[in-house]
Amino acid sequence: MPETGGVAKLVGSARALNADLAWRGIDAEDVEAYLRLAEPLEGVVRRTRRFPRIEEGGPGSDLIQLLWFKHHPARADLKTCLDRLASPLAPIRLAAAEALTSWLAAAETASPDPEILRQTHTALLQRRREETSHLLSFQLDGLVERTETLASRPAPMSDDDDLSLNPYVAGLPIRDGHKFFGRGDLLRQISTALSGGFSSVVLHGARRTGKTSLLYQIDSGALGRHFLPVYVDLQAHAGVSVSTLLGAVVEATEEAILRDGEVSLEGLSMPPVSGDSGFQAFQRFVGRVVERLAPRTLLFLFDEYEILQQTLGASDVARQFQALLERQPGPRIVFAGSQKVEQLKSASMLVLLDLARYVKISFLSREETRELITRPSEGRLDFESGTVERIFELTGGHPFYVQLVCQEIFELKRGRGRVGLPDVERATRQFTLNPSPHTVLTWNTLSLNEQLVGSAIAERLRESDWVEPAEIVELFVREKHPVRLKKAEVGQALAGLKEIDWIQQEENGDRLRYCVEVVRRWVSENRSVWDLLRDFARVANARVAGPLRQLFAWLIDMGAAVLGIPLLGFAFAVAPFGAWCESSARCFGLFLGSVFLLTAIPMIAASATVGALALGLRFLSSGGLPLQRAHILGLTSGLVVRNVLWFALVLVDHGFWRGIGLGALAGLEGTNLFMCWRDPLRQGLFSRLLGFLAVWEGGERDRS
Amino acid sequence: MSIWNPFTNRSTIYKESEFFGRRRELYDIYSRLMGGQSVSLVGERRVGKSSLLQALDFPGQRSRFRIPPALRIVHLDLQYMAGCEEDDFLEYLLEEAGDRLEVDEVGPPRRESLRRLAKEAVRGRSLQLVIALDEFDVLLNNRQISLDFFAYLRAWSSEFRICFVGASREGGVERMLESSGTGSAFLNVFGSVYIGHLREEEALELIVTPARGQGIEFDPSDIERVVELAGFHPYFVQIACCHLFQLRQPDQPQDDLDVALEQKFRHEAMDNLVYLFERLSEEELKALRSFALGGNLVDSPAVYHLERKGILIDWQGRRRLFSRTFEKLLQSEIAQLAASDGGLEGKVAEGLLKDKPRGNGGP
Repeated sequence: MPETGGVAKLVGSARALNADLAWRGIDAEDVEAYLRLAEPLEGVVRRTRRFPRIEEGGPGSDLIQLLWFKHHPARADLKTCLDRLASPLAPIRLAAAEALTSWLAAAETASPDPEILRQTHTALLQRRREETSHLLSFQLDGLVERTETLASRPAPMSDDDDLSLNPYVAGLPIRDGHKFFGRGDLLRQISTALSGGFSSVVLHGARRTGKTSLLYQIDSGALGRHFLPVYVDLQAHAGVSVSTLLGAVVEATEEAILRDGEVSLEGLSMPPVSGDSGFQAFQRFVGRVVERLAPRTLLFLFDEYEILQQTLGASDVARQFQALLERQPGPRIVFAGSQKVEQLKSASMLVLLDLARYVKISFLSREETRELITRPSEGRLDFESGTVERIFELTGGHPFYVQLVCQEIFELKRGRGRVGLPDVERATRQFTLNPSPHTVLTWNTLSLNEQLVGSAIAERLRESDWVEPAEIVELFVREKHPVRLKKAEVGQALAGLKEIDWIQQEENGDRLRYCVEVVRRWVSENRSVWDLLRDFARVANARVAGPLRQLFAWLIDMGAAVLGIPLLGFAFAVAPFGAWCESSARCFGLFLGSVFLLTAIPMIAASATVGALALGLRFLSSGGLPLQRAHILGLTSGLVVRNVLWFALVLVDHGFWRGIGLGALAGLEGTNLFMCWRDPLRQGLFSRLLGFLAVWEGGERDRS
Repeated sequence: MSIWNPFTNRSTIYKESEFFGRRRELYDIYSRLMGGQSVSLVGERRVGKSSLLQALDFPGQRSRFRIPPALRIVHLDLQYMAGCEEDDFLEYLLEEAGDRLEVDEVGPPRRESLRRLAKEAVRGRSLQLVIALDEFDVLLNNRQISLDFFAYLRAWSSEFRICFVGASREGGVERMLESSGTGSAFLNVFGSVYIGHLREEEALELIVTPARGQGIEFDPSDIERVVELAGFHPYFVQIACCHLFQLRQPDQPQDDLDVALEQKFRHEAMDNLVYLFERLSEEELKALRSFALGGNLVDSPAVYHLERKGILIDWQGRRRLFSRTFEKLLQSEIAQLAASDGGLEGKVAEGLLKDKPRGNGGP
């Protein structure tokens, strides 16, 4: 038997090697000598399936056994290999390292006991420290690293790690038809409008209400074979030229035709064009497609249609598009976006949407919400009685928040099991403590008044409560908030909150409430009126300059006053009726007029210069939001008038007016200094006013 | 004596062997990504968000959760992108994505190239692309990158079902959104996963295993020492273990081990402990003050946040502050601020010492 012969041969070799290795000192770095010794043996051990047990032992026996382990790693004795690493003979240590390398390679797929791996790692580290040969040290380093990696590799998958894909998606639009629920009425409205004479439809609704998902469904044929839908996400073409956009629409149309497969593309391609001839070529292309498709209708689905405002600008393309739509037969368009048509500023866009049917997309019905909750996790989550209704109450059927709450529930339950009311509450709590970026971003886009009103209502109301608009005005007084809003301001703020679908009005009444309870909870817990006012003050303070600049600004301001007084003195000296005026307070106005006349040019120029300088020093244009030019001019003029008035009042030889002037000057400067002293950031009255103006302006700009 | 100290990690962990715990977080992230949801990792600084991003692609973790090979994760460190322009970002993204998707020719750094790449790899070869963005607030705050480009990225990810997973430098979503400028619209598609401190068993694994690998066995009293100083916060655990490992070397004097350890820990960790302290909200500070003065904690969002951040922990059957050093810091701040009124620490002082809601005036 070859097997027995192989072992016998190895036993013979071991005896010869015992003597050879004993007197032949092979250096660990002498790889060639080692290979000359090991290679003939390896040929035999590779073929020998039985472990070569060699009774007499010795280095020859060790070498053969290690080589056998190298070629039969599954049966290697780890302890022997590790022990042999301490051998004084380099070939034994080299063979042991090779055997261990082989064992570790096998271990990568065999998942050995981590404890064994850790012990191996420790032993290897020990040997590594003792090893003197560079070559072996290098090999041992590799072994140490590999055992470390293997030992720290996570345990094989347990039931807990069985990854269940979360089927709820909050944020990205839904493409898969089987994950899309409801909206049948909207599809009917769109279909009826397009078949009944409307050349376009505007699908409008707040962000994350499912407009894009609905367009995707239409793109997948939800309106039937009568339409050939062409979906174009205009976000992907923001900032491009009209011709580039038209090129993208053509490309999308060609792809849709190819996907549809009913008509061929032959002879339909549009040559690349630019400039004025671009739209004509596009028009011809669309005309040919419409003809070829007949009796089917070409339907463009333009997502985020607001972007067209920027692209079309003041060009005539919108009008040309409108003409294209009026052709019979012609294409049809569904525009989807979150901006209402009446809010569009571009006249050309309004032309394009002039004859469109307006369809509002809002929340899901109770039944649609039930489907959205239960169907995606069918067979995995089992919703107890009352839980689906509770999710509907908490989300109002807003698809985004339904998905979000369900996503949390799915994670809490690890994708399986019964879902009870406590799970729903836990998921809601998770949301209020760790809100979605969308919620925070929506909040950030609100004006201060909208935030104040939203916060006041959220704090005042309990779940499902309604509130009268008049009550909101009183709320600020009753709760002793340091801010008062007028009825008109509250009304405006409520309109903004309704626009984003946060607040809803009672069907047959004026009362209001939050549409989405989880949002109300988040606002009530995280955005109190007090917090808002404090943040406002903080941001206002951050927008103005530091103490040193404040000081310089104050010095310049005072310098202007000091310079102004001699100027005024001069005015007195030369004023034709100065003396008369001095004696009579009644003609103070006339005196002031003459002073203005005589000193207007130098006074205003000097005062405006120092005013602007002081203003510039006081105002720190943070975040790239400097004050508007009109505001700077207004403030500078204010400073000029203030200075002139002060000088005049101080110089007039009339006790009462002088008293008023000095008192006002002392009062304002005193208040400023007092505020500087009290404020940790040393910001006084003027700085705070500037900060307020900057924040207010910033808010206006963000909203626009 | 072991020369190599295995507790020297203070930044992102790139080696699987040095990564511990986070099973639940990885589960949540994978589960969402595989379902097509982009994820933003939020949590305090130094809690290990960037390491978690790296861990998503560790072979062991992938095999543990049976992540299919078709899911390709492209890592982008956006610190490189501070002040860069759209072309630079595109070049970086295309290069890295091309490597990961095994596409040789990615084309010039233009938007069309991105679309072509996705078309080829995602549509053509059914790969699922996940883009891991480390320090992604750097990108969001980069004013060289236009709103149009963020809109494009959103449209691109929606068309090809590409997911993003981002780790920001800032703590929570709200803080990140406050600071982010132009790119905030991009964040609309993200869901968030909170990354807090380690769970107890994970922290213990982090304490014991690396030392054992170096032949040093931390005994229960050592573990207690580390948890007393660092709680279950991975960064502070690393610091405490690092010094304990040094002190446990045979050539080190073993007298006054506790004092020496605390001194060394304090020396290295203090800046970050102060930072953690300063980032606490007023309500959290009030809750901590009440707790430090022996009061009871009522269930409130502030207490929940403190627990989630790992500042309040349950250890050996009692609730306590995660770190003795942090506790001392809190007490000294209370004493100091009670003595002085105002100053630059006015905010902290008022938060600690006053119960009434404060209003700095309004508009």
